Amino acid sequence: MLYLALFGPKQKYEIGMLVGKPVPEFSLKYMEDIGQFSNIDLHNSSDSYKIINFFASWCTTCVLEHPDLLKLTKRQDIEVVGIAWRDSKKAATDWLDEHGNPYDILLNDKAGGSKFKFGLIGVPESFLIDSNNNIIAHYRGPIDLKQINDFLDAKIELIQ
Amino acid sequence: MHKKVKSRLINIFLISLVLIGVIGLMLKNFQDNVSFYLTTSEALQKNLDREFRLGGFVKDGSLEYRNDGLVRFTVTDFTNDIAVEYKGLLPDIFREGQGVVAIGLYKNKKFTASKVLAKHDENYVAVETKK
Amino acid sequence: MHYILGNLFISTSLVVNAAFILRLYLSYKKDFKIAVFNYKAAVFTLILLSFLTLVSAYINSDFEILNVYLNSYSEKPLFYKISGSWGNHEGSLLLFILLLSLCNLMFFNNAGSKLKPLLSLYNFLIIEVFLLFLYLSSNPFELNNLIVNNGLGLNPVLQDFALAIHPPILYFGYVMTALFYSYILTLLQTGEFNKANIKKIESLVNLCFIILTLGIGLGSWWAYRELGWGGYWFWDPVENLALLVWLFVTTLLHLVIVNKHNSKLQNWLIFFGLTGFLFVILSFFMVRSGILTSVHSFSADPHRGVFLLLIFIAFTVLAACVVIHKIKPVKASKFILNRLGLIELNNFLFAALIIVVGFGTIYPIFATVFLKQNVFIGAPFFNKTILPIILLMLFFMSLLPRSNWVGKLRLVKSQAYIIILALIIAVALYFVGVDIINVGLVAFSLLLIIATIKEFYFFYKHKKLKPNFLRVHVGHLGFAVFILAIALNNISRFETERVMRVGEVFLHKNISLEFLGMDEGEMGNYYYVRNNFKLTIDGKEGKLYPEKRYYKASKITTKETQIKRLFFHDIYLVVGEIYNQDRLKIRFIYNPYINLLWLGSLLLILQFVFRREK
Repeated sequence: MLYLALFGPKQKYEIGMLVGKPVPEFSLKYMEDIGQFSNIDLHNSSDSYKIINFFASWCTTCVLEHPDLLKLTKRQDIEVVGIAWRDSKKAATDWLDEHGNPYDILLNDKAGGSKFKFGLIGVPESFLIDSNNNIIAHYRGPIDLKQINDFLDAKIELIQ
Repeated sequence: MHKKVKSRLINIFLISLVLIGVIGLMLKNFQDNVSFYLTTSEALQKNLDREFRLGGFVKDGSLEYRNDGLVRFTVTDFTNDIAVEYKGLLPDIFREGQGVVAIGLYKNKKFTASKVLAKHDENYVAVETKK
Repeated sequence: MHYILGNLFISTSLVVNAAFILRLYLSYKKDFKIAVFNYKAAVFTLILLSFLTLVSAYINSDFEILNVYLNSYSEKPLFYKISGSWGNHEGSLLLFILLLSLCNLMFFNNAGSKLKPLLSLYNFLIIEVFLLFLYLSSNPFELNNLIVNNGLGLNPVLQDFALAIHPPILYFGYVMTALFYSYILTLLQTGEFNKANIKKIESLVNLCFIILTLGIGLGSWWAYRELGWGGYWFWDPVENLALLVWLFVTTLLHLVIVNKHNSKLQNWLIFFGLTGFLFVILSFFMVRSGILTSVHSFSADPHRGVFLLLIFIAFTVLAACVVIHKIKPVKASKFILNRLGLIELNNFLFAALIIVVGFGTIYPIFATVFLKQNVFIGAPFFNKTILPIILLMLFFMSLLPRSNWVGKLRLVKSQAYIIILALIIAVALYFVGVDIINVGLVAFSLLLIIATIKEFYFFYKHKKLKPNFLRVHVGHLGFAVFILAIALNNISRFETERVMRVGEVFLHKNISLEFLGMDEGEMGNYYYVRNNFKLTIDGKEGKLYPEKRYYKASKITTKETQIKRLFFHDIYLVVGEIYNQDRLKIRFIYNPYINLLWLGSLLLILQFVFRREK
C-alpha cells in the first residue's frame, strides 16, 4: 500500500477517508450505451494503475484540468476512467468533442449517486488506483500531473 | 679515473637490469591482461574466444527481465546486433536506448556477460562528471 | 552582480600578480628588498575574493552564472551548494589557484633573503600561468544566455560528505608539489642546494604526503560506501594519476630524509622534486582535455588540452634549463647495504611502480590515438605486475630496523627467526590452497609487521621511543597492515548476486540472510522501496535495509548500499532489480578485513602526530 503523503505548498489533495481502502462498490452505465461498468471491472483492466476522474460540462475548473488529463492518457502505464457527474449525455459528449477526450473508459452518472459512495464534495475530483484496486490518492480539485508522473516514473524505475 | 668509469658502468648495468626486469614483467602480464573494446560489428568479425568488452547501445524493446533473475537484451551499433544474457545486477543508469559496455564471452551467437556497465560508468554510477 | 564582481577580481588578480612578478624580477636582478609577504597577501586576498564570489553565486543560486546553472539547483542543501562550487572544471581550477596562493602565503616566509625573491617569483609565475589559463579558457563567471527557473546540477550521487571534501584535500597536496618545484629550482639557481636547505622542507614534504594519503583514502572510502561494488580501488585512470602523484611525493620524502645524512642521492631528489609538480600538470591535461575516457574526466575541450600541454612543456623546459645549467655531478661512491643503501634500492622500486602504473594508465590513450585500437587495461595487469615490486619493498622495509646510516646491516638471529616464521606461514597458506600472490603478500607484510613490532618492544623496554622513530615505524606499520588487509580480504572474500523471494534464507558459513519483505514510500524529494533483511551471525540477529530510491527532480534511481560493520569485517548488501514486490536481486558481499585496510591507511596518516625532533 503506497500512501502519497504530500508535503508541499500545493495541498490540493488530502489523505481522505477512502485513501488506503479498496474502490467502493459502484456500477455505472457506459456513456456509449454498451452496458454497465462496475468496480469489479477495474480489476480486469489491462493497465496496473487507473485514475477515476469525476467531471462535468458545467464545471469551469474541469476545463483547467483537462489538458493535464489529455497528457496523462498518453502514458501506457495508466488508464483514465472518466465519470460524467450530474451531466446529460449530450452535454458531456459535446463538451468532450470540444475539449478533447482523454478517457479510456467513459461512464455516465447522471443521477450523481457516486457522491455518497466516493465522498465527493464537487467536481473535479479524482482517485488514483493501484493494481490491487486500492485507492492511493484522492485529489479534491484538479489533478497534480507532476506528482502522478513522478509516482508512475518511480514505479517503473524501482520495480521491474 | 679507472675506478670512476668502473663504478659508472656498474651503475648503468644495475639500472639497465632493473629496467629490463620491470619492462619484462610488464610485457609478460600485458599480453594476458589487456582486453579489447569492440563494437558489435567488430565482435562478429573478430570472433574472439576470450573475454572482451562489448560496447554499443541497448536496442529499444529488447530488454527482458525474467523472474529467475536472468536479464536479456540486445546490444547494437545500428549495423549489427548481438544478444546478451546477464545474471547480475544492472547499473542504475542502464536503460534501453542508452550506451552500454558488457564484459564477457561471445559463444554460439550469444554474449554471456559477467559484468555490465552503463556508458561512462567504468565502475562508477556518476551521471555527471566529477573529479 | 556575481558576474561583474567575479570577473573584476580575477582580472585584477591577473594584472596585480603580473605587476608583482615584474617587481620581484627587478628586485632579484637589482638586488633590493621588497615586502614580499605583503605581495603574497594581496594576491591571496584578490583570489580569495574571486573564489568567495563564486561560492556566493552558488549559495544564492545565481543561475545567471552558467557554471552555477550547470552544476547546482535551488533545493540543494547548503553544504552541497558550497561544495558544488568546486565540483566542476572551472570551479576546481579556481580552488587550485586559491590553494596555490594560500601555500605561497603560508610557507617559506622565513626563507632568508638570498632565496626569498627568486622563490616567490617562481610561485607567482605559477599562479599567473594558471590564472591566465582560467581567464582565457575556463572562466567560472561566464554568463548564462538562457532564461531559466532552476539549475541542472541534480545528481544526488554527488551529495556525499566524503566526496565533497576530497577534492580540496587532494588539491592541497597537489599544490604543495608546486612549492617543491619552486624551491628546488631556486636552490639550484642561487647555488644554495645543500643539506641544510633540503632539511628545511622535510616537514612540508611529510605534510604533503599525509594530505595526499588522506585525499586518496577519502575518495576510496566514498567509492566503497556509495558505488555498490564493494571495492575500494578500481585502477581507474584518474585514480591512477592521483596514485602516481602520491608515489612521486613518497619517493621525494624518502630522498629528503636520506639527504640529511648523505648527499649521494641528491640528483634523484632534484628529479623527483621537480617531476612531482610536472606530473600534476600532466595529469590535469589528461583529465581535463577529454583524452581519458574515465568517468572522472570533465567534458572534453581540446583547446584546454592544448593549453595545458603547453603549460606542461613550458614548466618542463624551464626546469630542464635550470637543471642542465646548475646540476653538479655527484661523486660516485660504492654501494653499501646500510640505511642509505636500502633507500637507494627502494628508489628503484618506487621508480618501477611509477613506470608500471604510468604505463598501464597511458597505454590505452596511446593505443586509441596512435594505434586506433580501443583497449582496456584492468586490475589483473596492475596487481600481477606490481606484486614482486611490493614484495621486495616490504622485504627492504623489514630490514630498516637493522640498519644505520653508516656501517653495514646488523643482522641478528632474531631477524632470521622472523624470516623463517614468515616462510612457515607462507608454506602453510600455500598448502591450504591460497594462491601464490596472496601467500606472498601475507608473508612479506607479516615479515614487516613482526619486525616493526619487535622494534617497538625493544625500544620501549629501553625507554628510547623517540618521535622520529615512531613516525617512521608507525608509517611503515600502516603500510604493512594495509597490504596484509588486502591479501586477507582477497583470500576470504565472498560475493554473490542472486534472486531472493520473500521468506527465503541464504546461508554462507556462519551467516544467514533472510529476506523479510519490502515497504514503499515517499520521503521528501525521492520515492523509495525499502527492503527488509534479517541478518544472523553466530546466532546474533540484526536488520539490514538496503533501499532503492527514485529522485523526482533529477529522475535518477540509486541503490543505497547497507553495510553491517563487524569489527574487522563488513557485510555488504545491495538490492538490484525488484520483481513484482515479492522477489528481488541482491548483491551480497562478505568483506573480511576491510576495516583493517582503513586502519592501515589511518596509521599512514597518523604518523604525523609524532612531531619531528629539532
